[in-house]
Amino acid sequence: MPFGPIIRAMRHNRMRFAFIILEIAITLAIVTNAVNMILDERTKMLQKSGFDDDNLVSIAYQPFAPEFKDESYVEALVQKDMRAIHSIPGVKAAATTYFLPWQGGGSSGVWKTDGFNGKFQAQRYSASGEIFQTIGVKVTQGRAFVETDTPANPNDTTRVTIISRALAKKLWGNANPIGRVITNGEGAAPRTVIGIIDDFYNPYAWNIGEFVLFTPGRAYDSSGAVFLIRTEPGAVKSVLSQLEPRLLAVNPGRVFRVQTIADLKDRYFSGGKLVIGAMTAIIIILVFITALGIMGISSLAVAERTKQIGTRRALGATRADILKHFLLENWLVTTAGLILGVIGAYGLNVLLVSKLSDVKMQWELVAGGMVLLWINGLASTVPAAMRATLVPPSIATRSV
Amino acid sequence: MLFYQLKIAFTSLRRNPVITSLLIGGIALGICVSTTFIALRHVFEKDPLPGKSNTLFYVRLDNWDPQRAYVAEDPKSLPTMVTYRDMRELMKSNIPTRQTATFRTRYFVHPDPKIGRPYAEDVRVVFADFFAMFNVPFQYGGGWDKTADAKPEQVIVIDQNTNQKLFGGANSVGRTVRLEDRNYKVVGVLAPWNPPLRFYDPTQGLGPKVEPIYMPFNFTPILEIQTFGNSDGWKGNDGNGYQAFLNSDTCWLEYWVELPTAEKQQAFRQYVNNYVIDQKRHGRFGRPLHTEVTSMPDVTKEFGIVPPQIRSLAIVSVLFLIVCSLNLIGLLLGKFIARIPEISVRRALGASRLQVFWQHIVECEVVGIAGGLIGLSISVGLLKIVAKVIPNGDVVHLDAEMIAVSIFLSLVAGLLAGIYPAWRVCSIPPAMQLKVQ
Amino acid sequence: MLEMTHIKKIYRTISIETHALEDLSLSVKDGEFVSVTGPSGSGKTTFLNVAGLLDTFDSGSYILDGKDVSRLSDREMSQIRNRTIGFVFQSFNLIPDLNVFDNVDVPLRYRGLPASERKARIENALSMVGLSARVRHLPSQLSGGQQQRVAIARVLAGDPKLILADEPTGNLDSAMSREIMDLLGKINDNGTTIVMVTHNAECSERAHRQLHVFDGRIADVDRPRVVLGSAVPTPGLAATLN
Repeated sequence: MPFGPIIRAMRHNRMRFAFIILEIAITLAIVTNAVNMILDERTKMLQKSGFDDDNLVSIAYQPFAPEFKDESYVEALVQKDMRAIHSIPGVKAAATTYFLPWQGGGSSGVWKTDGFNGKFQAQRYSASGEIFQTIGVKVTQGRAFVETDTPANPNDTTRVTIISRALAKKLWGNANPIGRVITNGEGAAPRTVIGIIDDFYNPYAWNIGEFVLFTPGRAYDSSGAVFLIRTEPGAVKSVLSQLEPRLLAVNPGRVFRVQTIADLKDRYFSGGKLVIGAMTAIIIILVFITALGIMGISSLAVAERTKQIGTRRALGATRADILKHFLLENWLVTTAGLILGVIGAYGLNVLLVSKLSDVKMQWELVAGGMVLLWINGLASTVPAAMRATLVPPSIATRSV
Repeated sequence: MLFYQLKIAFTSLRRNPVITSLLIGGIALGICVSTTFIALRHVFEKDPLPGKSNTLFYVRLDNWDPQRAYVAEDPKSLPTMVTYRDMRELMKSNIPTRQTATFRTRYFVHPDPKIGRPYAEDVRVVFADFFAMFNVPFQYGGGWDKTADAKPEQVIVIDQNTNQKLFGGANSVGRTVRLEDRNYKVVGVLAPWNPPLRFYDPTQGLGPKVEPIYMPFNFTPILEIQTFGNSDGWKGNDGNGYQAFLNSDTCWLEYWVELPTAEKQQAFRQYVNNYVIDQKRHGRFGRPLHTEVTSMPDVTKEFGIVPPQIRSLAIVSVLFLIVCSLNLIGLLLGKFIARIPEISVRRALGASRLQVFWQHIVECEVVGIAGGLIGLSISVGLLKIVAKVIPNGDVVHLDAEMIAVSIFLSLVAGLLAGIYPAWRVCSIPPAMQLKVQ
Repeated sequence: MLEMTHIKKIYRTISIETHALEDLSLSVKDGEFVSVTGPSGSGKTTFLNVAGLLDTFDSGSYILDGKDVSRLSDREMSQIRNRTIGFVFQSFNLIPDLNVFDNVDVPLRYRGLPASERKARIENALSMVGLSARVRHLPSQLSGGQQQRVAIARVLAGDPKLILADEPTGNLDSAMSREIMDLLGKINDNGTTIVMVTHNAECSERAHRQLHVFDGRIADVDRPRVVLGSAVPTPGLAATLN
């Protein structure tokens, strides 16, 4: 194909092509970075917590009645509350815990253990025995908590913990974690690992989303309690509506906060949803707009060159030659734009990464974007190029 | 002349309604997307205290574990808040013109039983200077004074909603509010105050709103107030009880100072360093000397309160507008070139090259403004959708500044799209066209 | 070379039917130089379009270079235009964005010749028209006569058997016209058949044979001078030509 003459001819319409090249370049830069951001948000969203997120509800209470100052009263009340919760149809399991999936934080500590150099950080939650049935994960190695694990006296030294597989791997590789001892940062308060849960993820400010220690204990005191409740599939709504009235009937001297974990998760990902929605819309509109722009420029190119097309036809160009000519010209413009766009894509990525988030551009995305815009460019030229093939050769003999 | 050019512009735009609506639609699309996301960014990133934020400084000290940085992977990191004991010592300085330590807690408000059940409410615990430092607006009364701080007196500041709920919106200064088991005298009622960020609390990120109730800090040791904000510790307390917590190395307070001059900033930094060096002699602060006295704009940036995605969206949306604008060049070229005969007549009749150029620029700007206004009104709707999606979204709106920016952008977009086609048209000599036609 | 019998061409619009060619018959021998004259609207251009396979016709038969070209596909017609025919147009029809070299190259590209051969042909053709020094110039940088010489070089490079010239001097002054006519004469001397449509009496005289188109028919084939008499341009037209 005649690249040389086409390129040389295009040099005389430099400015016009420059604009469309710039447009394509920016489009590639935006599309690739937008897709990159979408993928990043999606990866975060698809991260499995390991929990039965859709069927979890929590109810927290804060007391204002004076009787809550009495610890034995609270102890008895929580038992009553538990019975009330379990009496609601559709409740599968319930536990007291300060841990709520997808709240985007929680509590953590710094720990030490033999076999791991230095200290490590992990999330840490106390929970009652039924916690794993409640969040919907299995203790896959060792055993779950039993009632006697919860020390009646807080100073009791026979303390145990159940940790996540990811943490065990980090600490001891593939060695058996059961029976290992973890102490606090100062080497005191030892806890023996009695069980491992495979799945755990809860986003945290530090990069410790997969690292957790559960310790048996009361997740309530005179200032209130949090219940986490797992329902039968689909029973979330009915359970949710009954929780507050039932517990209010047990003791009205407190206020409640009820929320589903699905809502928490939604709230946690609201920014991501905005990004995905906005970026998807921008990509679609942008590709559409660029297509319109290429259609406009190529129709203009054809309209302006009717006489030239007729001459070429007179000199022996077939319709296919004319079609090829315009497609090739567009392909060159698109390619020039895409080459510039690759620089733009990485440039914009550097700008976004340095100032903002930390998602590096992947070359597959750039390649994919180029293919998309190549196809987009060619497809948008076809209408004008087809029109060009219909120019009759006899135009050549028409004066002016 | 401008009036005549506007007239020609309107005539010309009316002549080809399809092209004209494509042009206006293109600009409108670019403006509505860019305005929406620039406005979103603007809401969260605009200076909450213009002219003042550069004099407010957030104080941090690295009192973390000698063996391990605050963020283990980043040896330069330091705790995001300060300890109670360090705050107490540092606040003895008279270098800052104002200063406050602050944290968030939750208390039960016990309204008159006739009004309603008790309810839990966020309470911010602050020193008297807080209100003046952060330009807190009052409808009735004001903050408390230093004597109320010192005692502390049982005084309280409530926001408008609380005032509405408890006192029906009347001037409640002098009346009392019961929190838990104590009565506090209302000294001030806030005017409506809804900053998009809780800018005095950088550790909480985007989302939580300013607290409805404010009480004196010095109740903290007396009432053993629990923080409902973050608290970061790296070693256990020496002993049990609240006093041990206060004496510990646990970081849980936000500490702000007002330092209006460079000299004071310099002096206060020195003072903080000297304090830490002195503490090192007493066996604390085992890590290398590292203190930060950071201005409010810098701390907002450093803590990334505004999600990076909001900025990314703003950047991308401006590029989007540029594409929309570039896209119109082709259309305009076609439109203007088709008008060459008319132009050459005008040129032959004595219109100067510059006049022809301006004629086309005026036409593009008419398109730009029309598209801009349409885009602007669409973005009002788009922002409403965005506000529903993000936390604390009800603060999202278009202010006068953003409307101005949006109109400016549409003018720039019109110019960007029109300048080359206009130049092309005006550079065509009149004679040639007349002869050929 | 060219054998047209009873060619009929009708242009139709919704309301009007124009008989552009009405039973046109014509025969041109190999190596002949024929001029075709006729008043405006007589069908000269339609004749040229049909002869050059730029347009189809409604009935009759047309044998070009021994081949019946009456019913060919668009692709086949393109090929014949490309290989057998060379066109010289009144307004030169150079491609303004291409330089002299690339303009001459256009038909050769469509013929799919290898680069070295194209280069040799182009350089040879340009030297024949005396424009070897101008290969990198754009058409707009050349005078009218030079542009027409480039157009002729474009024909020469293709080495066609038949040249169809449409008012080749129509946009040129008399000195340049003479130059172009000399060039065409020389080409014809080398054996290329030329059919030239013209208004210009002086040009017409250079032909071996002069034909006259009138109302879509070829008339007075054997008495060219009489025909010419009726085809003398009116003063108004002459003014346009200059």
